[in-house]
Amino acid sequence: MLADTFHSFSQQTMGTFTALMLHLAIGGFFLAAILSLAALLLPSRVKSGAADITGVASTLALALFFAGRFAEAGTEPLSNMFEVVALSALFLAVAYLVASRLKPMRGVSAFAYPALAVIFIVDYLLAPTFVRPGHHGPEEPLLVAHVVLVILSYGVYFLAAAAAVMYLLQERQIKRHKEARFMKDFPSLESLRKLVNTCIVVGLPLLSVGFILGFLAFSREDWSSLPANPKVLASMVLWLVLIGIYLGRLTGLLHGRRPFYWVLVGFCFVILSYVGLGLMSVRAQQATHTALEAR
Amino acid sequence: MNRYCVIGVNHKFAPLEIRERVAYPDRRIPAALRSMREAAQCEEAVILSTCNRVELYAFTSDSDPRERLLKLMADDHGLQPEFLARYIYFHRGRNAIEHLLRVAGGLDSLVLGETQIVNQVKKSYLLAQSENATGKALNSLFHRAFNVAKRLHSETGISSGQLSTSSVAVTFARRVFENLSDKTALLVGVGEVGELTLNYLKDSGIGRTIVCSRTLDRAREVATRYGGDAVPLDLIEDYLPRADIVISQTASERPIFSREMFKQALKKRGWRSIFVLDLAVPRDVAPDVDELPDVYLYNVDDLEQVVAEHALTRSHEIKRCTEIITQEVDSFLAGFQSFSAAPIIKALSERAHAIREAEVSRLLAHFVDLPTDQKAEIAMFAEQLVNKLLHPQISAIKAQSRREDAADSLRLLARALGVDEAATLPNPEAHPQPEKQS
Repeated sequence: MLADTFHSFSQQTMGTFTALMLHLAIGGFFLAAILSLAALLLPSRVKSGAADITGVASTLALALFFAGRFAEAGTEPLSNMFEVVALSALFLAVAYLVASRLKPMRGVSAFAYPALAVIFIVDYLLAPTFVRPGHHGPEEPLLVAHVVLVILSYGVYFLAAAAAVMYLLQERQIKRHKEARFMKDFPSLESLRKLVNTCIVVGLPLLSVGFILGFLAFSREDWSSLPANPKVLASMVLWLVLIGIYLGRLTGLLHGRRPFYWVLVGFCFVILSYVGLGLMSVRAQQATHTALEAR
Repeated sequence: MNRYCVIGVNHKFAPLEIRERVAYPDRRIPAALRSMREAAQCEEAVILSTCNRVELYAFTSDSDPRERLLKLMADDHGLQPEFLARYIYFHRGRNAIEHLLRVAGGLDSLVLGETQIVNQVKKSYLLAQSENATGKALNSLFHRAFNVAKRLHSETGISSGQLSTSSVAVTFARRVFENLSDKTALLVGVGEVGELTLNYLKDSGIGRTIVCSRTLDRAREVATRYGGDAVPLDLIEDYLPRADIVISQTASERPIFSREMFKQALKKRGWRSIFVLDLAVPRDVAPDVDELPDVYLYNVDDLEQVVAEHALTRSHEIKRCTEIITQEVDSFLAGFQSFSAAPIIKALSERAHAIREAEVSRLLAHFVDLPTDQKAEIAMFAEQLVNKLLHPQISAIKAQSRREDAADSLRLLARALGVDEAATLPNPEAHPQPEKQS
């Protein structure tokens, strides 16, 4: 049913070329996720280069999708939430590809591509809510920027959480003086620590600016409905956790494994705000969106 | 063949504490070799002393060399032979030969297939040779061991992957640090493996090295070699916060690094990770240091565990190596035994023909008028008779020489025939080289 809804959505919203590119990109990211995970777990059988080639091709297809959407007549691009989330995924993919080109790190692709795949899964699952009759998505540029920035920061935190998991596993193995077979391709503790720190430093401003833009997108009167929205609450807690980690690292109060555990705690709120609460409390979501649409 | 023997301790049978107590520093080896030859009645001797093993190789006519060698080893280090006996192993004959071949090939090493050990064996052999402690027996055996090591490393994959204790240590350091060019390595105490690890780190691009030793001159000497700084051991606490990698290998009987020292160092360096390699026995670093976050402490036994896991993954290569070693031991023994019988056969033959010549001359003296062709026939008859009489005896000696317990009977025969016993030993040059064989 979901596939039918998505199919009808893509047929209604875009032309044949753009729909083809979109499907190629989504399929490609899923394939890249599988290949990169296989390369991590079975390094002797699957090379990570295959995942990277697929990832580059998928990113290209996604870029062509947006180029097509802006070139073709008909439904305005970025007039629905699906495309806004897809745009965030494109930014994230480009950021990952550029970063991996500048500083290659073993094993990170096994988390970056699954992150992109997860974004598309959620996007795919929520597509019906984006295309329901009478719903037009975030037409306002401010709201588009808010969604893009917040989803970008979530993507960055996904990467931070993945690096934190890798760090904790790798650190545990080193402390136990053991060498697990599939962890041989993991980056060093130093690299993972730097990656987590960079993600926090990059993700925190993205989330902060995303929040500010979100608040600005609502009028002062609508602010009263925001605390009732669990998604907003979870995001605020996430923001506070990340501020805490940042300050803790800066002052040296958080050291050893602790900051990485806190990154995982923060990521739980990403999941809650992006997936869990968004799906569980549709009513609260609808109230917020209704308030916005009424404006 | 039973005259070859080896007594020793290694990482498998003795803890580091014992190995360290029975180790022979280079300067003490000449005297120890003399003791082996005089007190323990060894005709030839080689002492191999590394951080993982101390072994005394001997070629002796002593019927029970174990007790003499054990006593010598214990006396040299102020230990009771009964105490040392708990940790030692002793091999004789074929087992001793096979043991040396395994050691030189790296099959008996902490890091399976390592190539560092063959150089250590060569160094020990050359030292013994320079002291005139080796002869034909050990020369041929050690040359064979070097060739076998070469063969194992070139024909099998035993030396692929992690090669030595030092390289394993650097591999672990690389799991903590991605880039070594901005890191500082602190070497505390100057030991062979510690210095080798520093060498590996230098090859891996370590940024800065600090060498710390009780004697500043020795520290300077090593530091100059690696382009680093030398500091006295008293200032270790001041330099610890600067070190990302600490390699410690002092002879101190108590830990020189406490948990508190590392805790303070971590605070001073903003909780950046420290990788610590404690190569000393007894340990230089208090074990509870490993409980501190951001400190990764490894000692020699930890490396052994990794090596054991590594060995499991290469069981196929071990099987191939064992086959090669068995083949080489057989070849060595065959060459050794057939050559050792040759002087006896030659002596026996010469003695019989000397008697024949004397008897024929005496007989012909009575028949001066006999035609020359008849004289020649008598001489030929006598020669054939002697050859026929000798044939079963020579065959029996050859057959006996191929037996494992041939040494004693050959020695008896040699004595009976007045043959120099040393001449019954193999000549290294007479042995075919393994490369040619393969």
